Amino acid sequence: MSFISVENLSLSFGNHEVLKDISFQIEEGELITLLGPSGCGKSTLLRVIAGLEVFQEGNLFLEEDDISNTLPRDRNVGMVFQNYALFPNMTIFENIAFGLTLKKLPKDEIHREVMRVVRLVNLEDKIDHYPHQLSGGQQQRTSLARSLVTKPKVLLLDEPLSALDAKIRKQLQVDIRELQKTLGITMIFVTHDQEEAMILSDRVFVMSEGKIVQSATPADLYAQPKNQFVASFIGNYNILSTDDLNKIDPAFSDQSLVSKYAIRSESIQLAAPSGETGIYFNGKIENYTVLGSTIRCLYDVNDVKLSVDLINNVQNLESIKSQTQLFIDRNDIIAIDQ
Amino acid sequence: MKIKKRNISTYLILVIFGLYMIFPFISTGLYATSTNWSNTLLPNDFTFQWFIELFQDSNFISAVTRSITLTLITLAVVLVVMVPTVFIVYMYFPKVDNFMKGLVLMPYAIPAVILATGLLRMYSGSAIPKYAVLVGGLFVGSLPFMYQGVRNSLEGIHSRNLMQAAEMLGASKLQAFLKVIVPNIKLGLLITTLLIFSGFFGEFVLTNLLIGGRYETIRIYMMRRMNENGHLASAVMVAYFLLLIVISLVITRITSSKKGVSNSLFKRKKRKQEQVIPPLSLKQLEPAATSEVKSNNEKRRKL
Repeated sequence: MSFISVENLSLSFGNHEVLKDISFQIEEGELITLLGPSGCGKSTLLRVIAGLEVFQEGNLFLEEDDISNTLPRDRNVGMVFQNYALFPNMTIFENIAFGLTLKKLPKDEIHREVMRVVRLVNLEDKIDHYPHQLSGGQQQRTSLARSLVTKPKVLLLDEPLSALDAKIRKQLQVDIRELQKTLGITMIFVTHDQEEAMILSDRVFVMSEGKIVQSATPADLYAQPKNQFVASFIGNYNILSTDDLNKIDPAFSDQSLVSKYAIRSESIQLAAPSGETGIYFNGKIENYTVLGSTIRCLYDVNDVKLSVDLINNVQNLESIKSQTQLFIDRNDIIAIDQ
Repeated sequence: MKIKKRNISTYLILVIFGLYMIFPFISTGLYATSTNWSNTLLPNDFTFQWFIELFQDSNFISAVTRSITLTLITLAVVLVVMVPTVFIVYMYFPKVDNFMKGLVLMPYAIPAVILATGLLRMYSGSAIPKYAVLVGGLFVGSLPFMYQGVRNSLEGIHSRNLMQAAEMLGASKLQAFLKVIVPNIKLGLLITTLLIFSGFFGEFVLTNLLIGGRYETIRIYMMRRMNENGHLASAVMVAYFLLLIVISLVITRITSSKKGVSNSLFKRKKRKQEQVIPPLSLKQLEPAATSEVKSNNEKRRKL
């Protein structure tokens, strides 16, 4: 049996079905991300695993133990909250030591364990401070340390970085991943940021309307989105119908029964690589946006709008504007479910 | 020039307001320290005679003691009953909370005389002592302040999140409430307590109608002495205000202790700028940190 196993889990708030027949397995030491838009049920699923929400149907196993009816405090599961949830009346040391104090461990052991995790999160010089005296990033590190010190079997993180500015967020993403790998702890991370999910995860569970619509490694998820929702949520895909593709390439035909196709915007190229087989077509550039290392262009191809991401080579900017010939490798046209 | 004009008018308003507020107190003080003040702008003499007489009157000391006793007993009942009740309603019965917010405003709609009459009709023949009925009546009167005060404090500290965080760390609900919630709403509780304390201490109608003759509190004592001697009544009033000020200062002193939420709530906005700390080094994660890592940490701290 897997380390965490969720079987046919459903949860409703009144008449509103929030989680619909969810099943998945997580192996020990994995970092899983629950990714999806607001209201898709990802935080509720996390809270179910934590024991903070009671579900109506299904089973939840942790290390082969059925914890469906176990109290949150008895699950040995840690949780990091979006707004940190640090105790304002306690110092950083007291906050981190809280869980160990409840276990009535000897004082010197508590001190040793607290200092161990304090070093992990680089807060040695802040242990006598109160939470309000720390920055947002430092507070989230404290929250992380507080959860880690009790050595939970699983650490749940509910959008822990969303309240932080971009620079601190990127830094903490790296820190969390590094910590997870070093400690080998199983983590479930909730986010609505697909880039964050890609950076952090071993596997990503994409959720929509209370269901897991696709679970895959970041690379597979990006290369093979299962349906239109995933394709539109992950990266910058062009979603085209068979008619649209026929307008681009009149010779295009596909025997599969799907009616939608996804094309990554960076897989469309400007100059046709010599000797390669694929679809060649002409388009008219309508506008472009410089995003930094890439330029996002919007092309019109026989009334079909195509988003194309090109490498930002400043010397070639003028030629991009004048170039009309585009190229797609047939392998980059991915058939998806509606 | 414009700025100067605005400053003068601002100060003028403040001075008028200050005089308006302090004038009755000064007048009462002057009247309490004189024997004759009738046809002149200021009193003809100055004396502490009324204060000496007041503090030598055992009835006054008894009245103060009774008021304090009644107030403390009622406050204890209110705190013990209401704090857990509001907490449970707020945390676990949000629909009841919406109903309660309206219900607790009812004492505003019922005049104290009506409440006292109702209580007398209800309990006059019963075995329940009138003192307990009075405590119950005062309890009801405190509901608007207590419910809203505790509720606002719980909302202010994001108590749901704090409870869940504590439970996830292994605390029972009772442990989480006592170790996390109560210390963090201490400031709000003390402010609400202060508000209710001054209200109970000066309560007259309920006390007078329910057990007035047999249990003379400070306000009933004041009422009786006012009919005997105006100067003495003023002295009682000044003593009453000073006593309230002393009690307020004591409570304020307690609430402004350095530790805890009292500071954090006010200083939260003064959050320090984000400090960019270099990413964690894997070497640091090893149990025996090398001297290189230690020196790097030192550099980081200096930065």
